[in-house]
Amino acid sequence: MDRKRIEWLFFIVFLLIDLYLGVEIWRSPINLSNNDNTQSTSIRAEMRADGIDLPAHISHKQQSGYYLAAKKRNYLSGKIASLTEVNTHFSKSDNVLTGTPKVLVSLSGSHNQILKQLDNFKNNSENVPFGANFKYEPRMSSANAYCYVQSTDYGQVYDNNAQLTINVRNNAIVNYTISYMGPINAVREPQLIISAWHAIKAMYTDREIVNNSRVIQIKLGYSKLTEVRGSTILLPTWLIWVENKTTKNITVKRVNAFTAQILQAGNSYSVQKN
Amino acid sequence: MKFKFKFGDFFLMLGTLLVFGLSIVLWIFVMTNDQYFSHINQTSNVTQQARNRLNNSVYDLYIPTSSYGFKNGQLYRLYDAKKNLPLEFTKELKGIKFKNLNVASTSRSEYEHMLNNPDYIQLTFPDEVSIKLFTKQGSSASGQKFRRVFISNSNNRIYLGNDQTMTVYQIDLARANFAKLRNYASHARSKTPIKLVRLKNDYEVFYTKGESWRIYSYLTNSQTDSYFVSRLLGTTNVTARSSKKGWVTYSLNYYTKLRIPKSGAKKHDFLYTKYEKNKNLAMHEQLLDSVDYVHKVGLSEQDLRFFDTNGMAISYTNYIEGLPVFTEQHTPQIKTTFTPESMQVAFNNIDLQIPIPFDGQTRNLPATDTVLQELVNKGLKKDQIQRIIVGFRMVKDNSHDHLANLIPTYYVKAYNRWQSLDEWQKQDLSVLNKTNKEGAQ
Repeated sequence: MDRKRIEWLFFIVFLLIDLYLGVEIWRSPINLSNNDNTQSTSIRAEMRADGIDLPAHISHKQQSGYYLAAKKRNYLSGKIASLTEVNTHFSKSDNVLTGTPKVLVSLSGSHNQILKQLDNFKNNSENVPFGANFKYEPRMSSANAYCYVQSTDYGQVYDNNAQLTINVRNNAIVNYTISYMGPINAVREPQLIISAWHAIKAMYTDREIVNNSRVIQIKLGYSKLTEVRGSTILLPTWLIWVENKTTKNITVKRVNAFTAQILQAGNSYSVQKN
Repeated sequence: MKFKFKFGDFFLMLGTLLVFGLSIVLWIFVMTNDQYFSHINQTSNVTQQARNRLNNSVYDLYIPTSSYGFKNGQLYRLYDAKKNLPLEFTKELKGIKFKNLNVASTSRSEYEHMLNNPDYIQLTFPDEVSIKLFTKQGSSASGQKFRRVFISNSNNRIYLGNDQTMTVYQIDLARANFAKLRNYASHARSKTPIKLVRLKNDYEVFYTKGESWRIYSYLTNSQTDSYFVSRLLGTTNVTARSSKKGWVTYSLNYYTKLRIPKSGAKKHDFLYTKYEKNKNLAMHEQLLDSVDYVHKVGLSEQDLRFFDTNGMAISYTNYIEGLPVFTEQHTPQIKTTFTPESMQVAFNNIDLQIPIPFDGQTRNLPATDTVLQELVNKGLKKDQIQRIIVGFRMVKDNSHDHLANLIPTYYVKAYNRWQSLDEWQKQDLSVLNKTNKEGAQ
């Protein structure tokens, strides 16, 4: 009888040990494998565990980017005389021109048709100065405000000083505001930049993507770095649209595409959802 | 009943043995699975992770810095502000599969025929690198090196040239397409006429006429001393000791030290030393290990490129528009030195941070033949001149705290030493020639 009790005791103790070891192996909490794919999968899994949703495909491919520069000048006030179809107001302090159509500009049809009509309006130099240099940015637009960003040979510029917003109400253009950086040129030859996936990783490891959020879009664009010797210096940045799943607020964050550092203060802003 | 009792006893025994055996198997599994003990092998993991990073960034540090092509029989240095040709080549390389490597020729005449063949675009590294680094194939012990890449009209092969031995290697390729690169090369906006002249060991670019070179400016940034101390030595058990000569030495232990200039000393030269027995590494391994230390220092690597090697030391410096930048003390940005007893990293903590738009300032430099003649007239022996290049001298701009101008200057390597043309002209060469002669005897 004693022998049987001892056997039962051994059986239970080793069964518990087996269960413990089995659970430990099954949990495999940290995978420090150095395989890049595994590491990438692991970070994806960590992000998923934090409630962060990512787009299905994020590029791992490195591209090239430039340091760009634009001379700081007042480009808009000189164009006011040629804006014969709109009443204008120019704010010298923030270098923003507001134009209000003299006659009603109606918009009709589908969203694409409205965009085409808005394109025709902005590309007419009697309505909007340098309008043809601006490209529609749906992620920054809302139902009543169509947002356009300055486009260059090198890519699009995402900055308050390079933006056109056409305000619409009751199927007609109310007015527009425009700021323009002027011609933009490369300061140096192109250099390699980080991939979109690298930018996402950098943001996540820097805790710039909050839990329970959704990365909606990742896009390469140029952002202002600094002003020096009368020029605005721009650099390539990964712009990452992040939506808070609870509040539905969308924030645009920027990652320096040369160094993978997060661009802070003044470089991230909230946008309205369509 | 008696039979039933024995049956239960048997299964209890069997079950106990099974759970006992299973626990041994599971225990062995846990003990031998390194992911459960990764924290114990932290050091080796860090090294391995550094090596993995290296795989991604090795092409960023070891990439060609200059490109050359022919037009109407004349060889030109190609440059295009919108298209970085060496960068395009590097991007193309990432998708290529390298196949057979063969020696195509070893004679000087055939090598010079390749150099002057208008059918090839040439891309050059500043100094010889191992073929294995480039192709990731072959034995690192073979010591096969090259400096020059010849790109023909075929996408099926490229040629690698070793200036020192005048050997041409042929490598067969799969999945290569250099059409974009050829197109960029033929449309390069700036073409400076050059010729290739053999100096002591290499073929150097000689500018055939005086050229006007742009002066560039940068906003600079210097990381703090504590940044480098924490990166190189860590944050615990570090002691500091000041010397009267203007240095502060931080030590992690007897074997690992970082010497930095005292604050206010207006110096930027840091020296990290790690005393350890080093194996006699092949060039390929040395180039890879060296990159680990470059990453560890934590300087900006955006423009940092491999620059020079002399067997024991490997230098890296910033390349701006295809030209190397020398600090005011005519040192490269970072230099790693491997000796049998120690490993040293000497570096300058000034980073070129933000480029400033070109403001029209230029500097005229004479043709390279003129420079060579000046040096020979001064007494520098022609057979001791290893390299003549145009580089940038980084000079602080007094109008702004963190502004540096990059002044185009001729730099000459002779007697294994880099100095600017002005410095060679001021040097007492008779002493140097005598020392060298005695050394040779």
